Amino acid sequence: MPLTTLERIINLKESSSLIVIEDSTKQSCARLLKAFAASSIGPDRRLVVVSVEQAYWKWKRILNLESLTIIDVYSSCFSWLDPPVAAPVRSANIKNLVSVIETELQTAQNGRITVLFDSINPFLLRYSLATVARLVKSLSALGSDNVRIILPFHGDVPVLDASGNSLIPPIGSVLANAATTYVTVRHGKDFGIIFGRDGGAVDVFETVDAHNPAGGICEVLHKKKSGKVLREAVAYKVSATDSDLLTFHTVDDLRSVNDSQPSPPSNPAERTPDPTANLSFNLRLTDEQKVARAEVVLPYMKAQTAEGPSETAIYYEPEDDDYDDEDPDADLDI
Amino acid sequence: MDARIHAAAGKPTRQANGFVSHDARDTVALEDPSGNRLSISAMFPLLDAALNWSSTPSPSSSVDQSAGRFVLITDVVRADGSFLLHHFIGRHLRIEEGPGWNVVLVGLAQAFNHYLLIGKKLGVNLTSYERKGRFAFLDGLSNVRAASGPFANTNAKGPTSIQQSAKRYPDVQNLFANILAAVSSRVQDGSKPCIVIDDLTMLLYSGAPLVDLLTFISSLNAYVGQHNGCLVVLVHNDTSSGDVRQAAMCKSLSHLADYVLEVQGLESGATQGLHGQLTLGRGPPLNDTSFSPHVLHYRLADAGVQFFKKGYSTGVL
Repeated sequence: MPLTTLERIINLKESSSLIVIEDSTKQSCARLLKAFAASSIGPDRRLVVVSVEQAYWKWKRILNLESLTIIDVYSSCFSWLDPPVAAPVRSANIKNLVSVIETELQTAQNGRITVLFDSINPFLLRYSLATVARLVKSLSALGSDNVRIILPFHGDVPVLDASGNSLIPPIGSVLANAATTYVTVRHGKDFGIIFGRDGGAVDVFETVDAHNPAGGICEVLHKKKSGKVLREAVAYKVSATDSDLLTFHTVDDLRSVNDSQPSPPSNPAERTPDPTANLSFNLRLTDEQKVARAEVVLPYMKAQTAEGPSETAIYYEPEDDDYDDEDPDADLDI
Repeated sequence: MDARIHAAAGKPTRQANGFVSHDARDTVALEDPSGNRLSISAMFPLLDAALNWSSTPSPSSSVDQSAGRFVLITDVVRADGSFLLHHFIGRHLRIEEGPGWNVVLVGLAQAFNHYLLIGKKLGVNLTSYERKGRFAFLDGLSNVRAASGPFANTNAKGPTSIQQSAKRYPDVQNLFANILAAVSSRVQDGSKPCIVIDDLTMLLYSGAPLVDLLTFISSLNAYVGQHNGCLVVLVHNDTSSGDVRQAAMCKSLSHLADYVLEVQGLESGATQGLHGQLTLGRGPPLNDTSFSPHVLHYRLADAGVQFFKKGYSTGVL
């Protein structure tokens, strides 16, 4: 089976310099970020994590990876807790963030580098759209064939301007403009797909559809270097045996799997259930009643079944104004 | 005390996820081993079961499932969610094993007497816990318009500067420092902090900047994460009000929370036997796969709450 575009991008087989991931409370992108992080570590590969929304140690615990460089923006900009002394991280704020990342990129010139943010929403709350847009622009300038920047953001959080109104244009369109790949993470239910844990039974009538950790759907829009734009909807599933492993499927594949799950009953009697069974009143007819019903002559049946001439004719008398002597195209000046 | 969940009719069955399901028309009450009804002994046991937390942690269980968690409670005008706070306060005060928990309640919606009286009805004497040093109340409501009480700057060496005194909204950063001061001494002795905030929207209404409030909660969340504590925050989420700041706060917090408990009125309107519904949702950071999100109906009583599986209460059937 050929790899999906998303898989190719995650595994660095397809280059994309700025990847924007939009998620919501309905389906978080944390699982996907973990997959990006895991594929960014290895020989000739380096991962730089920028913690903005969460403390760096929380982020480290989520990723559960050893060899990564952390740039801590959270402690200096978005937390009142004293930053831990002698933390193995580099500190940065919005002003020097780009230069700090640049230094990190310069220290490792060979190999492919991934710069992974946790979320850029805290920036949007504190700084103006223009400041954040400038940051995104300079980050996208850092991206290249060997450097990819991953910027996740929460699409469902309203972004407000200084006077408390919703921003227009929305930040999503600003980011979509700059991105080479734009991924929207959606809940499986939006596509009629239900991800169950451990292959067990799933309650299809479950009313809470907030963040399914077993899987989700990604709508991917990828702009290739050639200018070609690829669109696809890919489902990711967390493996039942190894929770760190993600498998990717096309939505159509999963739909057909979901459809085929309730196996059709083999007994033909079961296939056509009797609607009159188990009723508290009687809807069935005895043989006598069936004969009596068949004998009833229904009104108008005679006219419908009576034999008449095989051909019918419609008689029509033309009226005076049916014909017009004037040329209808006279005014066309042909 | 060894209490067990008892169903009035029909046998409760414990499912694989630990959630206790009951037959139709069941209500949950508690009985001690001698059969006396103890409707208040373990606060709301079904809520603990629904969150997949053990209601009475045994001394052998070293890990409490509520440790390091952030519980966000959202409610609406039609259905008040503050009754859930009492569960979390009582639950953590009752855990006696080890150094226990240290609960700090930041009251921004009610005065201390309110919590004290409801606590008494539920069998939790807050003043006695306060004497033991395991409970602290920060009176935000009376001090919200002044830089005093929990909003006072305790670190200020000289008189407050003109810039500080000119602030027309409560200083949330001072509140944060005072909360930490209230818990830190016992946290150093190994006790776990439980910080309860009732309710955050009050600060938003008082004019505190949204970004300050989110930094406040995010910092508290990081603090309880470091010390295996528990953070419980109540916010109002009236989407119909059209308040964008409130919506932005709710959504931002939902992204940080481990559990989102949404208290709403009934979808179909109102009925006599029920007061609303509680949706237990999974927050993005939660990695506990055995927790399964679901919806419960609830009915408030004088001394406690009854929870029902959706559609199974006598008020609906």
